[in-house]
Amino acid sequence: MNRELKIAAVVTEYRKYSHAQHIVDRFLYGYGWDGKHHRPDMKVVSMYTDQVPASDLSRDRESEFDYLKIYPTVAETLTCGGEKLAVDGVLLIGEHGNYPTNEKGQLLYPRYELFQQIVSVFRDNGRSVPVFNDKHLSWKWKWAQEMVDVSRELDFGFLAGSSLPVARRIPELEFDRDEKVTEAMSLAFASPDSYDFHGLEVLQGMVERRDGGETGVVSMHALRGDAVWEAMQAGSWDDGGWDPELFHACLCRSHQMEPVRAGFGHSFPTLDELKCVWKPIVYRFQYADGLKATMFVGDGLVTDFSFAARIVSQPKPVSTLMFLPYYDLQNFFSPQVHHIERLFETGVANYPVERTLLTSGLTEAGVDSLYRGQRRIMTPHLRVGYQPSAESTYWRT
Amino acid sequence: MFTRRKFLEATAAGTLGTSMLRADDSAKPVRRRLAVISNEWVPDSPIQQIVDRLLVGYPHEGEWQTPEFKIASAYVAQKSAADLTKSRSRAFGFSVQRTVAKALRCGGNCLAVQGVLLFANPQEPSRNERRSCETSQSNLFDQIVKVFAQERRSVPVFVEGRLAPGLEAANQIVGHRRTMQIPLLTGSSLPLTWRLPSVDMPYDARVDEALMVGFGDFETGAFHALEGMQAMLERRQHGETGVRSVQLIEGDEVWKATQNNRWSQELLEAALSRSNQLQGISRSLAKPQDLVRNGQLQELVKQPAALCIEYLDGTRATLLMLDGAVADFTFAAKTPDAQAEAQILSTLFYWAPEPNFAHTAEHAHHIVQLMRTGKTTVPLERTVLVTGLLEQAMKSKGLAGQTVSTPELNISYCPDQASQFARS
Repeated sequence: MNRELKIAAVVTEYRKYSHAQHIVDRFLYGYGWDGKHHRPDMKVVSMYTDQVPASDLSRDRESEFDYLKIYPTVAETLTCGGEKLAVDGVLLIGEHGNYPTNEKGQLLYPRYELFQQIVSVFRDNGRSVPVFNDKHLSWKWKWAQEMVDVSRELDFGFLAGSSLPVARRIPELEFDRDEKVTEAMSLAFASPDSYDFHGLEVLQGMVERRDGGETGVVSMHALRGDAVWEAMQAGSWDDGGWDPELFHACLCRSHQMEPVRAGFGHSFPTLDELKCVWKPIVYRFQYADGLKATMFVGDGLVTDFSFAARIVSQPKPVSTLMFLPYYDLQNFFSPQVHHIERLFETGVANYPVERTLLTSGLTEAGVDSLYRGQRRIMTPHLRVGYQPSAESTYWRT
Repeated sequence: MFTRRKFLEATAAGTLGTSMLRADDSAKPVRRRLAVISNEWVPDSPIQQIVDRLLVGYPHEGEWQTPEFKIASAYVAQKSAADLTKSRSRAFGFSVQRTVAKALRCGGNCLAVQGVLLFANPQEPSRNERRSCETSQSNLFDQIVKVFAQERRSVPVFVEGRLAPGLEAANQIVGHRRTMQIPLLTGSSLPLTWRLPSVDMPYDARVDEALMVGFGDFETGAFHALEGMQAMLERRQHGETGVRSVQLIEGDEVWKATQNNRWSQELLEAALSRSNQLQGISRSLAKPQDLVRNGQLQELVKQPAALCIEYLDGTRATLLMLDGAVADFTFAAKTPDAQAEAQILSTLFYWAPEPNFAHTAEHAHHIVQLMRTGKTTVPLERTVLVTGLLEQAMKSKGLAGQTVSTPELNISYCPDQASQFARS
């Protein structure tokens, strides 16, 4: 029988509803998977918490689980207080916590800094173990790129990103890897530099499976305010907007759309109704192979994530909802934890970290474009080419 | 039909002005006419959720559908303070009539609608007591049938939810359907909604045992849960055979029966593993938990109930009502034909959250298909059997949980092979 794997968790904070809670709790307590209450065949034995808010739960977890110990530094967490690297995998969950924002509005989560401390232990030990990085890599492109470069240099499995690409889809939809996609759209909610990343991962997780694989992105143009409503009426991507049928399809896939018409629980909004309830920000970006993409983020219209695209093989748009069961248990973390377990067991990421490298850069580019007065910016650094996984990785079982 | 493409062409031409995303209701072409018959019309009720779909459209397969039907008339028996009848009739230009017959004739002398929607289910059990005989479902259906008989022709009828309070009344409706050739759709939306994962019982599969977990009060929750379970089981080898006996176990007896393996713990684990809405610490602390083994079930469920069903072909099934421990409907079955590792098929019947209740759009689509074609693939026998099961459950309850033989539930049928639940 194989030795039980030991896992270290390096987190910004561990409180109710934090990503650290949802992910690490699934390792500690198990979770519903494939018709069973699945208990991962590995133990989170050590933890570093960068911040300890009043609502912290990490100390409770330490008391509850004999095998779990909290250490004051990242290095000690990876060595379990000893001299050498003593774990078989690292969870880096740098989401939530009280961190500053910069002048562009980016929340400066210390993912890169924590990653640096992790790989420093790897270098000291002359060996590395797989790392999972929750959400985007770093708010700064150079650092995000460096994280991927270091993972290659030190040769460890590196899995990253949002739970959205691996969430259930209603309906089940995935492209064949030779699908010819001409235009794509995702509809997200909440604010930029956070949920825009999820919206970008929704889109990227779908379109990377297109003919020729991923080629990277050449330009980014972010819009807000009146510019969005002008673009809404442009009628096409080439005229400065987007394919209206894709927007229509995204709205029709939402299960959580604001009831814009008084007295009705669900209706299709008029433009005036949209303007009343919604404060959207739009990222229009173009891929190196010509694919056109639009991502909406903003409060007031929907509270879920949908996707639509034009593909050459069908006259009508194809579309789906990336389904987040937004109840307290937040079971969309379950497929993500499933893939993290595979990473730690095999040392290989089930889907490419380049996806998240690209979406990290797109998130920053969107914020930059807004910061520069909604100017279209060229993104030569985002020519990130890669091939998607052969296997389907979203949750269908 | 005012299609999306025509609509987009219109918007591109600027003809709809500020309504560029939604056509004005007045801009819709003349459509086929429907009558709504209900004992009440209040917010957040099935009538609002479904009739609104026909009034303002609904999403289906990534497109906003605007059905070619017009609500032409309504008869609403009771008007409460929250009544919507007047505001809806004003907004959408239909008449409110004083009798069922007048509604079907739109105030004229002959049948003037191409379909009827009947809503007469009580929202809460307490309301059941207040409901008068005149507004009961069977009575309202009888009045509809009377018009059909006078006119010597029938139009499609949708009956929301439970077909009738008991088997006798349900069988009468079935009799009317047969003699008057009434296209009839009824039952819960649960069998028609999305499943997570998106699986159906393989057609003609052997099923050894099945288990459904439900929530809510028994009268309402068990109806939906049984409809969901039956939609799975009726696809088994040789089709539905009917039910030999039922037993309703309640209270602590449920936990004793669990310990005695009256139903499979594997199936219970499989069903619960599919839940997105475990309660207790999963709600208060957002923590995952193993409800089968952590002893919390007994703490969380104040009024457990188990309806044990033995089918005539020997198949065993259990409906476990675990209100307090879950807030969704899940199913599991042992079938040698399932692809899963342990030959257990399990899934969640997904009801979408308020206020959109997106699953009602899928239900509405089945109604639209009925009204368009006069046909439905949803078997009426399913709801008749479920109606009888609930009646017999109450009989068992009246006999202090004894097993009761159910010769009247010798109801056999074979559903269509094509799956009916939402997948696109």
